[in-house]
Amino acid sequence: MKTIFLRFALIGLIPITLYSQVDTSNIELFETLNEVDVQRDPGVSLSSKSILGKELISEVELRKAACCDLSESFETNASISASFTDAVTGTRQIKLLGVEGPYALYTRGNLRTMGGLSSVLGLALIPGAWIQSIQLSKGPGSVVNGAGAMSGQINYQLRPSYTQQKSHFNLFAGPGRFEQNAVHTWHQGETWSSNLMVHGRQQLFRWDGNEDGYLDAPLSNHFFIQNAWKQIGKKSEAQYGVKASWIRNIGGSSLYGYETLVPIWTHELATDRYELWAKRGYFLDKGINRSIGTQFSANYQDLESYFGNRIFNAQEQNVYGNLIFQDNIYDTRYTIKAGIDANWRNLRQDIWGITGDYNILTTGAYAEYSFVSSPDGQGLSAIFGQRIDYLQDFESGKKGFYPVPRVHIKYAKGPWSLRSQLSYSYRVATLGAEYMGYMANNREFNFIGSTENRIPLPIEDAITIGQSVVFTKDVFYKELQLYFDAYQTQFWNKVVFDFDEQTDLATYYYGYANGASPESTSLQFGGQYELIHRTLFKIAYRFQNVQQVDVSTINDYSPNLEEAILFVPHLIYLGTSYSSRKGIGFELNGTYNSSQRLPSIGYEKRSPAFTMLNLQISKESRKNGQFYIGIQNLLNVRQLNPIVGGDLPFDGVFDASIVWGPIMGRQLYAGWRYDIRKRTEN
Amino acid sequence: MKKITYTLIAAVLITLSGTAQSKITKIVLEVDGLCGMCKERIENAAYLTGVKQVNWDKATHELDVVFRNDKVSEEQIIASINNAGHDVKGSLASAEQYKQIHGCCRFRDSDLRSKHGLGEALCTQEKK
Repeated sequence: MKTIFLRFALIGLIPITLYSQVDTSNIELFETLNEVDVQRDPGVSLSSKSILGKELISEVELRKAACCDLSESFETNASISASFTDAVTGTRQIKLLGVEGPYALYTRGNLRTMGGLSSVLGLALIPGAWIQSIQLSKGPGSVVNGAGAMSGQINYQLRPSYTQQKSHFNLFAGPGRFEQNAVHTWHQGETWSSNLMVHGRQQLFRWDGNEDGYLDAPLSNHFFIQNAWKQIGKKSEAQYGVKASWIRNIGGSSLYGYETLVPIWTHELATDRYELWAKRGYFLDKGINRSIGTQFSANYQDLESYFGNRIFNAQEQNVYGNLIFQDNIYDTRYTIKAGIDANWRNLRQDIWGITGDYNILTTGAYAEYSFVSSPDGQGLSAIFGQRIDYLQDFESGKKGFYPVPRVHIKYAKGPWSLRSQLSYSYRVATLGAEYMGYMANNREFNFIGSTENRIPLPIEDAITIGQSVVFTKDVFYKELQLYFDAYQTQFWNKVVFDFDEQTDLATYYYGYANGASPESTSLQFGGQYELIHRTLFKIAYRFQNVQQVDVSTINDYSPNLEEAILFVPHLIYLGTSYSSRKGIGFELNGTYNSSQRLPSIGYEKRSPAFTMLNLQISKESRKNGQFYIGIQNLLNVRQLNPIVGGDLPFDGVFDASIVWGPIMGRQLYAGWRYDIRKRTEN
Repeated sequence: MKKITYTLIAAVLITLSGTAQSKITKIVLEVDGLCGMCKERIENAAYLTGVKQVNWDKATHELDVVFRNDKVSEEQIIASINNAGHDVKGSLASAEQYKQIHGCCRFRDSDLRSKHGLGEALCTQEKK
């Protein structure tokens, strides 16, 4: 028994008994054993212990979505909507609290990833089969993770190297689309463990279901490979990793590569990304839980692409380092964290005839104090965080201090948890990469405020107020979860692209419009319960209201706000999931999306409302692994004309950037997952 | 909002009450096993129609079961656990049933047991 305990202690967060309850921020330098020991895992659970509201999405839930990468993992989640950025590139982006994906912070095992050039495209670089679990928190989180995360944090844990699972394989086939994943783990003695992950994805056949002469999904070839290492020492734990990703896509006209009489509109994208990271934590001898940790990552990405006649090439270098000190004051109820970090991002890119280059060094210092009144999370607990960043852009010469204060308060009594937060956040917008979908058109771009092909560095900032209530209780011996949350993000400076003026013009505006601050409001409530034996029901309703500055009134004394385009005001989600004792699974998920506003010229006023229905049936056995088969978009709902002016792409209006719904119709898919487990180990 | 939550809870309560209650039985079984994978297998096997709640403790080997005695019996639950390959105190799995569990879960293997810091297997105790 002693050896087991010792092993636990070394692998996990050392004093599990004392320490784990003071889960204040999201930095985890020391990971607990990843074999979760929960009772009949429902897939999604709302954390009742942590001060920050967290939605834990386990592998059980991830298997319910059809496939294939991080952007598609939220099909069974009402908090996040995923949609195509445009009708040709096949890129999906997510929306959280009504704003686009890049406003959220993405972390891999709580170490920052993505951002900059990979803000949107980066989601396609995380294969679903590599993911072990996802933690989703809404609203800005801890200051330890930086000054961003305006809409929330998405933390994904990849399959760990220290696990029972020796190997994992996954094959997937959809319409013309194939995927292969393999993960292999091995141990090198007591202290080292390592794993290798490989992912391949191909779209081999030309697929034009709506017969508009344009490919519904680009022909593609993706290959990613990752090697991660973990070292467990007596008083330290370290993780290292390297990853390389290559993407090649060909989209646009379905006649690509053939000889044609008239010029055709095509799109190609090639990107290579290389990543390197290291994390290390040490326990210091003095103090109750005194520890020091470092995080480091370095990335390089090269991107070459064209959209018809528009060329978009970019190179990015990024280096990030963080040093965190953590200690308890008096006893484990009071925790203090303090540290410094630096983030350097150098981006070379030309976009829409202006230069989008920046070379930014952000150095920051932060401190965070937190307390809990009892170890089981009951009573009052709070986090007070303060951060000061010094930002320097060597390209434009802009520099300045940015103080970032944040407060999170939680009160729990019995089955109820109430959380409130008030946070300030800021971020640098990366114009080309975040708005790549806006390149798939013939619009002329008018950049208000640009001088000599240069625009002021777009630094966006906002205040977020959030409130949430969670009720968790066993009702008739089965867990009932109910929640309600409300968030409002009030922006000062924000980037806006206005498509309302003319069909061939897009107007860019960045800045603080006098008296008219863009805002995003989001309300959501829902619940889950195993109403029928072995059948889990989930229900959710979400309301959103996103207001942006009406750019045509920008020079007025008091500019107006208007409803933003392409967000879903009302969303209803219903999901059922049945799993039999013999390993048969059945999932049915439906999402109703209400109508969305479209640009006021050249389009219908609003898009039609639509319902997406997905069905999946699976069979799992120890011998043969899990087979699954499903139908996506059962009702065959489609946006029939996602490309405007596709007949004469180089004459007059051509626009593939306004996508409100699914482009592909009903799709059948099938896949297989297989695990090899070790004979020993706990 | 509170009102809505209460209404929702009330709705669930009304639909379920009357049918449940008085026939609820709680038992504790001693079930042999080793790991998290065993836990999954044992709980899944015991979670028959009529069973409300199952929880197996890896350390104490105790399986708490809450069930409706008009829908399912203790014998059926034990038989289902045996069928999945696990030993219950007083009712051991047959060699055939035991054979189908995964290599890492062979709880009768004394080497494997000692690696997990466990003592003798239930079946060896009962045979004595």
